[in-house]
Amino acid sequence: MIKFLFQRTIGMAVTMFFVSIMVFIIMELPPGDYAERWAFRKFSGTGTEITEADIDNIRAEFGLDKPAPERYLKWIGGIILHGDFGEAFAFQTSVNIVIGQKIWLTLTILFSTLIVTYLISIPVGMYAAIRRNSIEDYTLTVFSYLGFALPNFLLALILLYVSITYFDSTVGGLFSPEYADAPWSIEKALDLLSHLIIPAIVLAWSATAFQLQTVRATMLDEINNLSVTAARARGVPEWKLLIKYPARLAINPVVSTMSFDANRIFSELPIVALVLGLPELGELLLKSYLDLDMFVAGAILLILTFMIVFMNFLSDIALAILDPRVKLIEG
Amino acid sequence: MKRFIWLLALVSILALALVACQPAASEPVEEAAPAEEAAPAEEAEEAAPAEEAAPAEEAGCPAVTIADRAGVAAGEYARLYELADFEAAADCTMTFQENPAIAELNAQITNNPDLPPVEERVPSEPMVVVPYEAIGQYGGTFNALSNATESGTSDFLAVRHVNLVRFSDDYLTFEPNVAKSWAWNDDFTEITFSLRAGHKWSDGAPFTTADVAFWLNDLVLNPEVYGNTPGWVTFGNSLMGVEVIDETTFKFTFSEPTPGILSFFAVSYIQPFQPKHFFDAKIAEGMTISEVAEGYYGNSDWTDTPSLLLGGSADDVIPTLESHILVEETTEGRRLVANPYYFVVDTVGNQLPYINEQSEVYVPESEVRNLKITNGEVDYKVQSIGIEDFTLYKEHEADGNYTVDLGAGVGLTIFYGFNLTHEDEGLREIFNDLRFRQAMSLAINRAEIVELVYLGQASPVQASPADPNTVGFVTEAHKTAFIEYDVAGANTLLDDMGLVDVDGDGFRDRLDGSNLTLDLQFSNQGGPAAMHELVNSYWAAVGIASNVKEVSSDEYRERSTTNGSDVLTWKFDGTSGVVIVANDEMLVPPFGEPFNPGVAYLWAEWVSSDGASGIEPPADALELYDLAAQFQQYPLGSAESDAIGAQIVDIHVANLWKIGIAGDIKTPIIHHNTLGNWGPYTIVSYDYYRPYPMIPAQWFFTSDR
Repeated sequence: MIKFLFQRTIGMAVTMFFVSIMVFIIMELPPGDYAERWAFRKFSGTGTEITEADIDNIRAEFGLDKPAPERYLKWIGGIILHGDFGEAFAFQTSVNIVIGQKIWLTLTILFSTLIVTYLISIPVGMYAAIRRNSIEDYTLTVFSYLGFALPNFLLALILLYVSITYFDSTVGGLFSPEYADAPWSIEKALDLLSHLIIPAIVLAWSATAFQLQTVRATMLDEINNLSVTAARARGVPEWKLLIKYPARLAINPVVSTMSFDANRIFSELPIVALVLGLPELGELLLKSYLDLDMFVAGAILLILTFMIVFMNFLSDIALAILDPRVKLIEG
Repeated sequence: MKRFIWLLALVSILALALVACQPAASEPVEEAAPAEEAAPAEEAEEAAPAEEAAPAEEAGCPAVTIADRAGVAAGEYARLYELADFEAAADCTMTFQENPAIAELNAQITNNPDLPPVEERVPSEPMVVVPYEAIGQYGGTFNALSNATESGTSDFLAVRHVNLVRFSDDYLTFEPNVAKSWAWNDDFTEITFSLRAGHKWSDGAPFTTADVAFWLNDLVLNPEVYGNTPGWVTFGNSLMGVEVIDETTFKFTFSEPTPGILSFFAVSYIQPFQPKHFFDAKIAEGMTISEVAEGYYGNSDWTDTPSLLLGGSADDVIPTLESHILVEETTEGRRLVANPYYFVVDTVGNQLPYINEQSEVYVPESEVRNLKITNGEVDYKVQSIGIEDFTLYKEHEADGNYTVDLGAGVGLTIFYGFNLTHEDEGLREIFNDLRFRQAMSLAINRAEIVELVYLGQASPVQASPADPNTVGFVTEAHKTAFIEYDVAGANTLLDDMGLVDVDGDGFRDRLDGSNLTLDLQFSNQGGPAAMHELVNSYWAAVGIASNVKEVSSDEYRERSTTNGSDVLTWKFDGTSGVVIVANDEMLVPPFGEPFNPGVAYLWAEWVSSDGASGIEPPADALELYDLAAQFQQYPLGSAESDAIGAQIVDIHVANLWKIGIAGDIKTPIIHHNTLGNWGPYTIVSYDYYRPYPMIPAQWFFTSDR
């Protein structure tokens, strides 16, 4: 097990190295750089024209004129050695400060979405498998496919409208105004939960649809296994039998795709967050791309991919614990 | 069993990781500390009305309002008095009262010392405002909504804004503000302003003429701060000068008649004074002037750039004369508190502003903004909302407890222009052919746009660099030139040019036969998306293909000011008489400014480089420089001004450098029903700096929301 953990950790580090190079390439892709934006800002309102020389000076000032490998080393060096993600030009401060305010929010949304997804998809998927081809099964299937079919932004707008019209909640943000600056309390936590419900439902719906079908299919495979029949023949009670044999196996694909879910949630989050007015990383990522504020974009991409890689690492370990065969294959 | 131990280990690692995150995660708790302190302030504010009404009656000065003048004769200005004039007119001696929460608010302004009594904080010559409806009550938080840090913010910036002078609510009469009075010399080359004795910055330091001289000489004309000298201090071939006479009297001097400068200060966000003592202190600490300017002054006079507060790299705030001062900034919004040294009082001697705090949040998504508005979460909004959503706002008026009025929009005519100095020579040749611009104008069905986009609340009009409703020299012929919907006429003009469909894809190709497709990039701040879609279809109907794409305001502006756009489209603002009389940006190439980019950047470069670079403009465009300079030497509305103005408009309309769509656009004005002293807000325009003429410091909350 120690060896397995060690291998996985090394694998994670190597993956992150390649990811960091890819992120840097992505940062380089959009035409133009922040120097042009800054030139516009610096001279806006002055009624004068901006010349190429002005922009070149600013580029040199920001260090954007250096060759790409040099900038990559400086960037990644800062992150590894000092935890410094560089400068957020558009905010005239460091990336750490801009992102620090939002990362907890993003992680909260991620984990609440994952929890909602698994709490629903695993038991309901099992139920659907047991009641295969019943009216309940079909209803659940149709309902879960709706989650796939409905565009997230539309769903978010509808839920937002409903919650405002019928539940008197406030628009956007994670806290009602009266709690935004208040110290932490039970009421504040509840207020946070009430604001988390919409993004969690929107994001979890499609993830649930996917996992529900996975659980259902695996359960169906396993439920007719000889081992189940044998156990039934031995007189094991039906519920115990389900949990002990097919259910345990049906969870495996769910656990092993945890990082896929994280990935899907991160891809859908920016649009949902923008529509809901949630001040989280995805929304900032969009904005920083529009502003060409590349260190912010790079830091966010790096953090999000790290989360996905880390979730993958976790699911590998969890799977190894749940299913001993995994370890055997890995050697 | 072994597996369970591993599972346990995994869970413990996760738990540890979460604990490790704790310091950062608990940040909100630390932040909450000042909020806790603020709590008593809110209690005090509820108690305020009762407390404050009592001394008001004892004070002796009557509660004069516009609604009820209490028998006191108006002075030189209907809405305000100088203290001595008011005391004489009302035969009383004013005593001053303060916001009961002012000490707590002051405590939030970092580095502000404890407050002296209110009599020592207001100037010895305060401005006395006659409130519209009532003597207000102190308290509350004003909720404002912007698109982003630097987008859609001016309707909120203007709420706390001050300048030397302002326009009255008739949008014609100049009124004193920071300046007590002013006087011209005979030929409009010198204007002398008098400041108020005892006026103080928000940190209690004296505000004097030295702060004015510092603004002009050390900031605006300093190449370390402004790399290029701004156009608005350049008149003809010389720069504006400043001459300090004594602590409260100074002169601005010009080499030629400049009557429009008073209009400029009445409507501009540019404040001709900066806190010299603050800059000096920072420089003494070792910062250079350009670093101070970058950190505290946003690099320029535009005041919504991110401050050092955002990064937490400095906790001090730059002193202000405005009604509220910025004390907190995050990536999601800004918070301001009342300026304890504000120089304005009401008629019973209460120091303004009435409202304790201002809270601005950024919402980039227009649908979410609309939801916040209809949900009653915003106290006032005029920017980034349009007639297209009027029915939505009206429908939720009662639920949201707000009122939506229709105001007259000035400078709201959307224009379409073609980049006349395009880097692509093929496009440049097409765009510079007048027939192309005429055809593009004729192809547009303006009546349909008025119905579909403006719900009938506008009328078709050709673009003019002088808004027809603000000057007397734009004729009917100007307004109706090439605005009829004439597809056949447009096609004939394009055929004559030789723009034909070579490849048979249904669209005309370039003169050399290669594909012609225009990039029509727009920002929703500059005009409604629906209109661009319509224009795209009208142009397609005459065989001109374009791709419509929405971009951010920043992106649009950056691309356009660096000569990178095909099609330019924005509100044609900066065109009111009061603006063009002092500022020629819309009159001469490039016919724009960085916030509202023009259509001929290389023409402007040719002129500013004396022909060394850029593209030589046609004679018509060159003539405008002289005409604009002459126009600005005469007071607006004089016979000379009208004659020269008409020539300028002639040239613009004849060349159709910008194609107009519709004018007289009605536009929504939204305010919460609990906002008192709202005033007769009728003209919605950035050109008049939005609600600045309303004296918003008198706004107050009549009840809890």
